[in-house]
Amino acid sequence: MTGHAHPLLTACTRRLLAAAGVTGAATVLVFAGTELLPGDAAEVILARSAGGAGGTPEQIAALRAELGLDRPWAQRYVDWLAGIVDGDLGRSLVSGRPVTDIVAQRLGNTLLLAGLAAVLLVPVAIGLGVWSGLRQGRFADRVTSAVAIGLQSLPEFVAATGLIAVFALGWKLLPPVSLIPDGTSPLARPETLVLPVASLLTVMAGQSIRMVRARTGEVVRAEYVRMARLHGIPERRLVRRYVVPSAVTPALQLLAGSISWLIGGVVVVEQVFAYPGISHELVAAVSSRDVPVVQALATAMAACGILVYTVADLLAIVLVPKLRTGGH
Amino acid sequence: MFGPARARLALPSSLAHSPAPQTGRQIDRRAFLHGLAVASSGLVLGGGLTACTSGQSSPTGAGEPRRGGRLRAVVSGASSSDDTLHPFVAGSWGAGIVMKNLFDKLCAYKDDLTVTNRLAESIEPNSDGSLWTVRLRDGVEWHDGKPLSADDLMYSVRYLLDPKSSFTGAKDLAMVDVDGLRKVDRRTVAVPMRRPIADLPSLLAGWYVYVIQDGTTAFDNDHPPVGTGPFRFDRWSPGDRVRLTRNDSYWESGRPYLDELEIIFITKADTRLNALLGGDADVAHELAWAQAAAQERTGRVQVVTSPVGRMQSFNMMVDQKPFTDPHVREALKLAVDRQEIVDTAYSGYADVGNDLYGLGAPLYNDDLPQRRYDPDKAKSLLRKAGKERLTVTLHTSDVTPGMLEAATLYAEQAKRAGITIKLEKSPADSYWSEVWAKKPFAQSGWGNYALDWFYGQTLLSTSDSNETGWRRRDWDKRFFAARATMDPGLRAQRYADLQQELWQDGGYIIHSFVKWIDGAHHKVGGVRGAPPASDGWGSYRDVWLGA
Repeated sequence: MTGHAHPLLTACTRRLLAAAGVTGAATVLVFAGTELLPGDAAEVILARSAGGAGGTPEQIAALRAELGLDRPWAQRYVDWLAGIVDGDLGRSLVSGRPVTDIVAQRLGNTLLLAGLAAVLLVPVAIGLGVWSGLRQGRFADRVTSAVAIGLQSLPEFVAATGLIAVFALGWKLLPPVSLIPDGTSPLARPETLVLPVASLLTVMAGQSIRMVRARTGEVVRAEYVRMARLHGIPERRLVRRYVVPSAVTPALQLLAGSISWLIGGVVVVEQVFAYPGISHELVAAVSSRDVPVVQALATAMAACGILVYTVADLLAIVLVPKLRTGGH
Repeated sequence: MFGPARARLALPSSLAHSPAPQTGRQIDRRAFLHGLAVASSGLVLGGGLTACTSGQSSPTGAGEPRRGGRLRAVVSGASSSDDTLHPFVAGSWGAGIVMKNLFDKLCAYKDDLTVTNRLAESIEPNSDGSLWTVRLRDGVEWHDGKPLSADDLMYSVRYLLDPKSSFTGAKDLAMVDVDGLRKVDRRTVAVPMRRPIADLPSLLAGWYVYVIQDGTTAFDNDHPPVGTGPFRFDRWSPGDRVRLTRNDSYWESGRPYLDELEIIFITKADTRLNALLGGDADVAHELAWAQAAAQERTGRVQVVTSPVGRMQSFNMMVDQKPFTDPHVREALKLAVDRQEIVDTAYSGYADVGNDLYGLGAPLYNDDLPQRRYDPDKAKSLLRKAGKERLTVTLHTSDVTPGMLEAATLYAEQAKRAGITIKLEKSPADSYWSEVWAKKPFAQSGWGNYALDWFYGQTLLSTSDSNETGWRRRDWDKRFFAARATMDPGLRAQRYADLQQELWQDGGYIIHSFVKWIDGAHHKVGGVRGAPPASDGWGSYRDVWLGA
């Protein structure tokens, strides 16, 4: 880097470095969090079976040593980090299978589901939000807002169940479960993606629409827009030139926020549709204290969340020149 | 809101799984749960009467048994990180179904929990039960064409009981003297006992006791499991599904009927039902009770229920206060309205328990009076003991469906006896390792097999799973004596006495035996309700797909 770097470049570099730092901090937190949970993998493995019975203290101690759980956690964290650098995520404590095998395809499936929902969310939220914001107080706006608030307050599983009842079991248009054989992409059976994505959108769109609508309302009432109106600039051009850009930039941050909130929704929706993503893995790994698997999945999810925020930040920097000089 | 009653079909069971409120609002919650059960039975439209089929094949549209077809079954299973194909480790319900179709046992539980021979031609004791002789069937072949021999059986027993592996199933056969195993001939093995036993087959029929091939230690895609069972291994996608194909040289003639069997793991009961209704599965195991009631009424699918259920209990540790006092134990047993738990928490798909394990199993003591809900008597017992206004903490968790609801109802019912039961809810993922068998008042549930098996697991001074702190040397001695009694009449008498003492004095409040419910399409033939521990549940050798 030179001393006279382009301010945009500097701002972007800073952001990316910060994102990497936050991701690193997240891995430490997850590791420590798993440590704080009561019990460990050795106890769970010995306690878990249909005829359930715990192991004797000697058996537990022996298994702990075998799994390497008897070493201090800081040392285990450093070993794990060293593995990451070599591209080795370690092995599951429970089954002994390589974590990369467990995570690889399922993570892709989850990202596909969340990605589709996110990509569809942005135009829906901005379109309906601006449309509603321009009509503030009118009947159309009231209906949109009421529906948005209603949907936003639905838990994901209720939305999903409602959609299944109507479109899958009632009208039989779509499959009620998303069973996808191992080794094939959900894209090979696109019909299985419709209801899960729709369930996520149903719940998320409400919140995002209301954010954009509120921001649009502010801009419409702003001084400079009123001046522009008085100068006789046609309404359509006004919306395109002034309202949408200044409403969408701050809304980007808010949308990024709701996209990271999507991660929580994905977990519920995957369970309801038996979609082969990572949520079932994550829940099972946490309950069996399978630290390597939890670490890999949580790190991947944290990295995705942070990535979305960072991209939104960078877009804002590009769109709003004022931000580039911040701090100078 | 939504169209005809179909919305109810997929009612998430999680609705009934919110954390139990601690005060005041329990009345509403109880009414809500009750309402839930009533609503699911009252709101469903649709004709079609399905006879309640218990332990027998239902009349179906499947016609006569025929060969061919691929059947997809959904069952709760493991995740890909803790899924396994190892027959001595496979503890989940889903993995259990995979195992029983790949491998065989020497003998297995029938639907009435008596035992019938499978790979064994005979299993015979000497005069005092200290030496058993197992003779294998002739002409059984492994999937790779090798003949089944005594070496395989010797290896299986030794491997299962190897102390280094600490397999759960080893506890069931702790009385076997491994060092004394002797091969008599190509098909016969002599099995000596450390302690005499009159009924070894009921333990050989246990969950994990499969016969595996001599020398095998690894079971996965790289080391495909080789069994003697009705289906061969094809492919395993951990945490997702297992594919099996027909074993054409199966020893039971004419079986199996299916060309292919696909066992798919789905965690949530609602999702399993949706897969069945939506045509993504032909059989769905372990349906939720409220939904099963609705499905029985609509008749869209076959619904079969198990003849005996799974034991559900509140466990008092008799060696910890206040449960050391027999008056307190009796009062708490009288303070539970079992029928209400059966009707509300399990939508009626359960039998009322009488604080004894093994309802419906051989040797179960039917002669004891059924304990009834009697809050007044409970009150007077506590007055006698000087423990009026007793307050106890019951540890509960959402580990199995209905557990939380049962605890909530019990806390409400006990109020009428002047007993305050505080509910302490633990997270499901640490309940078995941190709370169960450690806290003085907690809950559990066990598969319903032979009394011998359960007593060895939970009621001896040395039992690892002694969840009621029941450690009585004298009872242990009488149990070993009963277990070694060769005369059937005398043995039944001794078991009745053992149960008399447990019923009177023990720490178990066994409130119900919950039925298992499976659903299947009408084109599937040969599906019947069977106890989950038995050979019949999830065995696909007798199942066919109609045209």
